[in-house]
Amino acid sequence: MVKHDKSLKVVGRGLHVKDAIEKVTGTIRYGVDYEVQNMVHGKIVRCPHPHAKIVKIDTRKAEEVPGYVGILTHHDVPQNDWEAAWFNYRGKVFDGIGRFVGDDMAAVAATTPEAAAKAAELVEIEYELLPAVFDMEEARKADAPQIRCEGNERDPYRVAWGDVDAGKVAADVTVDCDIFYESQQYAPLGRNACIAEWMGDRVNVITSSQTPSELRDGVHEALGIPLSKIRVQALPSGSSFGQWWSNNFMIITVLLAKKVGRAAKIELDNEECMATVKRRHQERTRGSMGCTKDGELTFFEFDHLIDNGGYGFKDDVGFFCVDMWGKNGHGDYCIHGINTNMVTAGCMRGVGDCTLGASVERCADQLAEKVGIDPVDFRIKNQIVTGDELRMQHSRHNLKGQVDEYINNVPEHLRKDWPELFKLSAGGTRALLEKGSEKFNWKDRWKGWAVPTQTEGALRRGIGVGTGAHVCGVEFEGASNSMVRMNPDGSAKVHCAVGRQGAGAETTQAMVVAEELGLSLDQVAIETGDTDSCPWNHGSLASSTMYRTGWASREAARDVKNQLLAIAAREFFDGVDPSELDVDNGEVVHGDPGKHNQRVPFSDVLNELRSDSLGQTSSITGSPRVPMPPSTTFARQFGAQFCEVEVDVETGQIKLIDFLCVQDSGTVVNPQVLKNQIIGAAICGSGFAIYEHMIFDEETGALKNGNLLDYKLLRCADFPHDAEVLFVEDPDPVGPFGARGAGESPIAAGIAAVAQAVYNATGVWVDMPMTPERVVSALKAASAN
Amino acid sequence: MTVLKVNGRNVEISDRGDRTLADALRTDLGLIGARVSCSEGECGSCTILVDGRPQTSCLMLAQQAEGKNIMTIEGLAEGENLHPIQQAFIEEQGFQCGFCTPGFILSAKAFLEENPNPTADEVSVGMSGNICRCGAYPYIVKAVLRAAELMNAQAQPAE
Amino acid sequence: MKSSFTYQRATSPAEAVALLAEKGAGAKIWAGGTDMTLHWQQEKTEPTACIDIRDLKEFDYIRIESDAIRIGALTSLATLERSADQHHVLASLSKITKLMATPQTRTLATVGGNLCNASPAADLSPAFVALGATAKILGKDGSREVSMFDFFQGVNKTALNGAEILKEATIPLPSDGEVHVSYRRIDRTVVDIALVNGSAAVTVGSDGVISKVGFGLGAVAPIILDASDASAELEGTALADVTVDKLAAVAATAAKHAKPISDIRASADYRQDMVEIMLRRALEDTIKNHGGRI
Repeated sequence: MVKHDKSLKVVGRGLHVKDAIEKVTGTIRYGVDYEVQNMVHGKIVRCPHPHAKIVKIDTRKAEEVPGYVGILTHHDVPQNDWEAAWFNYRGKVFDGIGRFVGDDMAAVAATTPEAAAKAAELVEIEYELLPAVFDMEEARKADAPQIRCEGNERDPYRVAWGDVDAGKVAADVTVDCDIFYESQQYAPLGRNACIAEWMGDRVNVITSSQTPSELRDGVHEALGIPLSKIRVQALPSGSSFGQWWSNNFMIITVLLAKKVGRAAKIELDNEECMATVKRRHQERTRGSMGCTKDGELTFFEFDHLIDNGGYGFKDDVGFFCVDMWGKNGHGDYCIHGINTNMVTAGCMRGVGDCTLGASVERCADQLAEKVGIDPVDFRIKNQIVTGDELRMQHSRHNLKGQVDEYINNVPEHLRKDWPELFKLSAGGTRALLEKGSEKFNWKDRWKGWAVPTQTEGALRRGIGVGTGAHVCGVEFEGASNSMVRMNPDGSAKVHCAVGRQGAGAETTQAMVVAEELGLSLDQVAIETGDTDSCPWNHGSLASSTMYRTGWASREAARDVKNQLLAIAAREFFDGVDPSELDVDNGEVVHGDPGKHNQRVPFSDVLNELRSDSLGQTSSITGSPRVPMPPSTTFARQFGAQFCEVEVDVETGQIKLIDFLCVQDSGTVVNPQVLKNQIIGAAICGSGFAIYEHMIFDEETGALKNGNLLDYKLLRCADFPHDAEVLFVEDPDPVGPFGARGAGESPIAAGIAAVAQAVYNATGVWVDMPMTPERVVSALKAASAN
Repeated sequence: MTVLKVNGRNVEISDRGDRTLADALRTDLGLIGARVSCSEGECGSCTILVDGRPQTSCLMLAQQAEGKNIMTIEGLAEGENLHPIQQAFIEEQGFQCGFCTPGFILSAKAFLEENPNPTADEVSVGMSGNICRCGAYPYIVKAVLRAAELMNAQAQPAE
Repeated sequence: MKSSFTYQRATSPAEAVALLAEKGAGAKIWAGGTDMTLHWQQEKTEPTACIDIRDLKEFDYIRIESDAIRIGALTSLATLERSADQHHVLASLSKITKLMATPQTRTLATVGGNLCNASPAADLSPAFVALGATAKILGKDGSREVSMFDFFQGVNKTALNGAEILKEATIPLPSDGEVHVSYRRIDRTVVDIALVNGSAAVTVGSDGVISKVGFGLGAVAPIILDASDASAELEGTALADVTVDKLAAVAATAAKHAKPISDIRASADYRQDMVEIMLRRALEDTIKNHGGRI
């Protein structure tokens, strides 16, 4: 393993985040904190039925409300489909059909929020009720009510390699599973709001979003106007985890503002945020896995359902747990994306790896128990290491074919340094498991499968380990770009539309650029939200920000540096080859001070370009000059987590006692930022494992716990405050300074660790979330058998 | 009009009864550091100090605050000089997205005034009236412990 | 839509009662007002007039007398939380208070407000019922007392008639011996509404014999149950003779009174099973606090 470069000056330091002062003084502004003069307030009229078609809209009573300005209905809306990233939404803004309770049907504008709310309540809509379906399995049936014109079920997404039947024959033991996962809710703190203001035929959209460019695309698709006429100014999004990308309410705001001829703001309340936007899918895994008596996996075979709700259109999740466990020669897994009359489901942090991944981890644990191997050793034996094949190339979508096509368009000299495709280029779980078990003292604490580490009265303690993997961004929806501009004073600004969701991109992207340009972090500013100044970027999603955008930011900085050094060589260093020069602490220097000992401040170099006739100073703009290699085919991030839980076997209550997170994200750009993100993932994963789930009405599919009183989020005292993070830094050959992605593998690892610890404490596997009641039921069922 | 004392100054708000303090602070007074999320006293984002004690301003009517000393996050720093708790939250990065941060900091202020030398366990319980969805809890605990150190050092008379 | 209401501050108990009578059915008392503000925003209640009694300092007290602990209705939960060193019963109530809502809500919320909200899942109410506390009520025509058990009439319903306010919760202290009370609940995260709860209060006389046993069962019926017939199974037993099995049997008898429902927080079956465990554990706590060896 290569240790990371000690000569780095900015990268690797736990520098304070750029917006720290704004955050601790409360001056940072989110979507809800903005307004523009003379704006109207919008309120969405929501569908009270799970599936219904509008017959008639009567606005007479609403119009009587003082302050009423106007209404936007499906008659006003271009009937274009628009899509959010990764098919998290596909549909029209309104089309006169409600597909779940709470669906967007129309929007009212009024001069105050109260008047808008009142008017929205008074809009009378006559509906024709349509049959509805909430259960994924029911929705698959031929005679099920059809929710979308494309049908309820996507084509299966299948990844298969080897010969599963041969793998079954080779197995000495097998286990089966049938596990249902409830939906986790993003449960964002903070709400979101969108403001849209038209200036002639151009529109300015201000909202909290992780994906400013995707939102601009969405407005473009829905309205059919050129991208050049749409400006998105994305604000910090609060704890988003995939919720605030491009959302229908934002495009409703754009259309409402156009309809009433005034700037409009729509603010969602807490329940709207939870019940009407997005959620993690409900999922169900059925399948089996087998291994030899020595604990070598011989096959796995899984059939996995995900429910997309009304407007989700995804057909794929969970490549990455499959990659991680894909060492065995025979595999077959198949995903089915199915629509239901429930609120839309989409990508939430660790999509697939928190669910299918947890199923695979559980099956692996059951096999390990059967063959008497401890879970750490079983993982080391069966999980991939650097250089191993990534199985996702064997997919229905023929990723290999797509990638080949992409590669063939890249001149050979530009890809000579690329890693070998479809092989893991760096990292893996082995070092995490080894380092983690040592730190956790696993060998001493492990008492065997289903053996508590401690028993006192009704309390049982158990330990567990879990692993998770995820991709580091995906290229198929477009390459994330970044631009760097050096100002006349030698300071620089990065423009990359990744939003600000709290994961520190506004700091770590700037750190990458500062490192490349030989500047201090303070000298590098950043714009992450304005599509008028930033090139297209996929946004901070799919754990791509550091890997793919960070790569682009470094390349853009490299371009600036090359331009800077070329001028400096010509103007200050007697025309030496620019490659002899370098940047250091805001100055251009020669590699051999004996030859040229001057240090030329960047500002002097830039001012050589000064155009006196115009009285302006000049700047340098840089962009990536080489194509980014297709990272999906070789880059992964890994997490391993160890925990101890205490279960009250009479009441089913679970307490988290101890937690250790070990993470491989390549070079750590900012350890302070990354530790926080890893712990946050462990907490979010623990929440999913023990409490978090959306409760839907069986008759209507309506959300019954759309509030923070009954949607339980872990609090400070619910999680061990001495939880630690360890890093294993295996530098990546492509990522900026060796960095990879981070945010999604640790949530998957935490879920699996808690589930296994509960098993070891109690002797029963409990489906998630492992609420007190479910733990008691599982114990009862086990003792009845 | 009703006069409130906010961050040491008298301010006027309408005397409407059916209005939360959080709403008045944000809308009338532009004090957006009082974040509103759940509106049901669960998340603690809108925490302010009333006569030095923490309260969620979403569960209090604006009129109930008349005659009380209200402090919002905007009143904590002295000009550009951050309060030690703010400083400690930056040092330990006791936040990610920052939405919950003002609430946590004001909860910490009230907590530390009552318990200037807390244990980590006590801090952990004391900070449980606020939710951080990003999950910065261990760093929030470290920040509050660090703030206690800074505040105690400040309180020591110079030798 | 949330209702619109006027706001008025009462300067005396008499004025509060008079205002209630004058403003009619839509008039609501705001003590700390946390539940009221919450329910108003959730449109569970539609007040037309808010009568704020924050200034009635004469209702804000904790008094320990030889035969009773008197807790004024306007005592904040934060004050009760900080009363632990004044009396061992207050120490037990303080412990319960720490479980209630958040520190922020406890600053503003009051004991009286919590009782008047009459939530079947309330944390303090089962202990008050188990302790045999009474509610002192003030009306236009003077004051009256009802047992805390009778005070709760249903979900968010109390024995207060239209123009009455709660003045005090009175906890009787035994003339001979000592009473200990314990409260147990099932919760999920550290801040939660009890999925189910149970409280037990046990008085042991100077002769070492259990003279009085009280229960409070929460979140298993629209009101707090007292399961009074189970008390007799333990009353008259010498502390030294109490066994874990005995307590389990008594808890089982008491738990039979539960008539829980299923809702989004828990199923009826789970509540039924757990209330027995909560009562058993609460009984065990009290016996241990009396120095009993079980």
